[in-house]
Amino acid sequence: MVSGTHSEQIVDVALWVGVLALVLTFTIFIVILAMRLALFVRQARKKRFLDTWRPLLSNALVGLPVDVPRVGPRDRVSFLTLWNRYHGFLRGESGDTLNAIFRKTGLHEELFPVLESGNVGHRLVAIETVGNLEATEYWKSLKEIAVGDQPFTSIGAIRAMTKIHPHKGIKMLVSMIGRRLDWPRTSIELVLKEAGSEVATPYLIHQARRESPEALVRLLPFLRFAYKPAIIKTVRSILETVQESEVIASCLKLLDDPTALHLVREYQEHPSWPVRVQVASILGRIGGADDAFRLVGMLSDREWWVRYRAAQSLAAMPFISLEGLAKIKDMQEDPYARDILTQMIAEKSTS
Amino acid sequence: MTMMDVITVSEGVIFAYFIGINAGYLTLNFFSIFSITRYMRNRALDDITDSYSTFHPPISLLVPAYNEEATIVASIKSLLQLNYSEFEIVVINDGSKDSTLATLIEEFKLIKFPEAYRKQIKTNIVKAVYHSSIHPTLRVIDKANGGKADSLNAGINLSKYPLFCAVDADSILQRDSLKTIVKPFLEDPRTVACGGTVRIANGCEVRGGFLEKAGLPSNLLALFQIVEYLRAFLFGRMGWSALNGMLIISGAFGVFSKSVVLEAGGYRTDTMGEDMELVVRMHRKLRLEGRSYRIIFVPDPVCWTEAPENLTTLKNQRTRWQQGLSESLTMNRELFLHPKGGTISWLAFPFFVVFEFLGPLIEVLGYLLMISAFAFGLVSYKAMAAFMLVAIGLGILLSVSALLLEEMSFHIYTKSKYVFILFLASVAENFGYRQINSLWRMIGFFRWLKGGKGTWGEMKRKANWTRS
Repeated sequence: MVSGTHSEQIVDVALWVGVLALVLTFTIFIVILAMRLALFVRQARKKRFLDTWRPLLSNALVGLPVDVPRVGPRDRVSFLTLWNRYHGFLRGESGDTLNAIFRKTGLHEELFPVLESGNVGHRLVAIETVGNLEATEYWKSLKEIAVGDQPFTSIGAIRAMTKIHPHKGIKMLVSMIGRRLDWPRTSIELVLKEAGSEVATPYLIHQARRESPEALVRLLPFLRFAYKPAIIKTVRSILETVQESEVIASCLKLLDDPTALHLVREYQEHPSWPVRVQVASILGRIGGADDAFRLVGMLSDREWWVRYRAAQSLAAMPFISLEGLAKIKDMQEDPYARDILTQMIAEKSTS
Repeated sequence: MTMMDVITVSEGVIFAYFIGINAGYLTLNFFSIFSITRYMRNRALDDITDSYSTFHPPISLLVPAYNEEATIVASIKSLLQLNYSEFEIVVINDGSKDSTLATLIEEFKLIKFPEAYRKQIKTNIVKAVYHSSIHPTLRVIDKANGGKADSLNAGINLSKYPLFCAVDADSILQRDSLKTIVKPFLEDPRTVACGGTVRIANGCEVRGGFLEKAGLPSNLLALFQIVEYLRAFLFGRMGWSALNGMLIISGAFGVFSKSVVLEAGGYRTDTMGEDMELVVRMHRKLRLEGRSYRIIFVPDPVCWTEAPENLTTLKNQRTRWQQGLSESLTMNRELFLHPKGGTISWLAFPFFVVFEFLGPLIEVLGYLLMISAFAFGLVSYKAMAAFMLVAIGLGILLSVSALLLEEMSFHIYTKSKYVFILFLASVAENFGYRQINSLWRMIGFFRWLKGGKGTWGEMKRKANWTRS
């Protein structure tokens, strides 16, 4: 038997839950309206800021005299963001003009607190600013940020450091690539590209010779930012010592020079198919007439991708005509190889 | 036990159910608030970091098409303009009875091509593969009719890239939608799938295949669906994603790791909910193998779709969805309370079983029981008022919470009057619309019980945007 009192209690609880829901609904709606109002205020403020600073920076860059107003604390990050954006577009003397304006604002002294801010976005803006200013006094702070856990601020700090002292910055970057798997690949590439091969080569080569196979897999793709002769020499010495197929495949990718062909050919029969795919791919790019025969042999490889890449490479070889490809196709007993070659012939004839 | 006792116990169960389901969703809402705040903070970083983080993995866009002659050209043209570094489009004409293929051949200058590819998933016969002579990244598969899942499998077989994105032919994507949805794959290599938010395009301004301005439709059904989608995506999926317990990625737009999908066996062709079933199966496989992985949801509005504006089409859609959900859960029942299943087995799966699978049944029975008991004087005014307050009041609270999340994040609807209209819609949809939805879902549940077969979800599209 279920008691009436118990039932009454359930109904009371339900009533209160319902009433609470309605009160909360109304409160949320008020919050939504307040948020919308705050959004309008923020948008108006941003518009006012841009209306003041955009023409001012543009006038200064074309040499017109400008009065630099004070940047209020609430506009500080907006100013840094805009200033960095201008820096991104401009080079040479214009960069110096921007730096001069920056110093006039007095914000130079106020970058430390922004660098230490809890807001990652604000920190990133400050880091970029320090790099653009080439402000050596922030070196120590940048170094601390560079070894921090946050991927964007740490790689951002390395980039800023590289702008201040290219050699020191690249040395630090290269020593960390193997273990900083959280850094976006393109961020690393950007820093290496900005520094140039002359700066990057010695550090990349030195690091590649001492890294573990796991770290090498991460580091090797960046070796293409080094000078070519140094790459081939280093890759050759790595290939002499490593067994890991992933490292071998990464090494082979870097050997797109005819002088390294003999090295590539050695891996034609490698047990790992990703290595054989690389071999097929490189032979197509830099191989000679002898290599065409090797590629024909690879058309009957046990792995589909090797056969596919070999057919693609054969079709890409400038000295193999459509008729030649057709003859190779007719010689194939394997239906998959014939299918792939049929596709390549069709592709070549429509290109 | 007397009649009154039965009524009292039922009353308790019904109250518990309605409070339970709403409390569950409010908890998800709570997680979503944190997730969305964090997400928006990181999103603000994107503007700063985008300049030196521009690597994007290549993606194959798979576009299954069945009788889409009215919209297919406009859809493909807008897909070709997506802002992404490397992608291909594979359209799969699934034996359309109209002139979908002929339209494609003419518009994109398609030529038959002897394509060699690995048939890793078994599909219905592929009659031909076409290459576009004016867009090198566009290919079309012409195959015998086999359903959406079969089409997607054929697309997977032909696709070149390690990630694929399933896109509905009638969807409108944001220009940078691929960049947005691929981010989780870059941020966490354990990511195997990622779903984006789908929003309602009715009432919006669309030009050149892209959404120009978000607006609200004059049709009440479409308006209610806007609130419904906000609720489903912004705190349903966002909340589950935060718990790594997301069981659904919308078939309209989702990116998957091809290798993991192939390992799982591709899309199942014997279900109406092939999109959900695949995600649940991926969870099952990866969880039971003890592998570390992530299935992520991004709240950015990446995809817009046309919502049904009449009751018949909407009913068909909802019954089909419920059938799909029921199939997805029962086909992967091994996951239910499995010791190795973690959050999925012990939280998400049971939640879906109780509130989504059985929910419509309990809800409809609850309403029927309470209303008839009240009519026969077996339930007091106070109890009836309490029931309505719980069932409707909490429903309104959930909908308004979704509006809050929208205001905290994307402000898609820029005009202030839209906020008022959406608030009114959040209230109004709880008086009739939600109840009728439960009824349709209950029908879907019974159709699943009877074992209805899956077919393409046909919908007469207005596709107004293709005209501008």
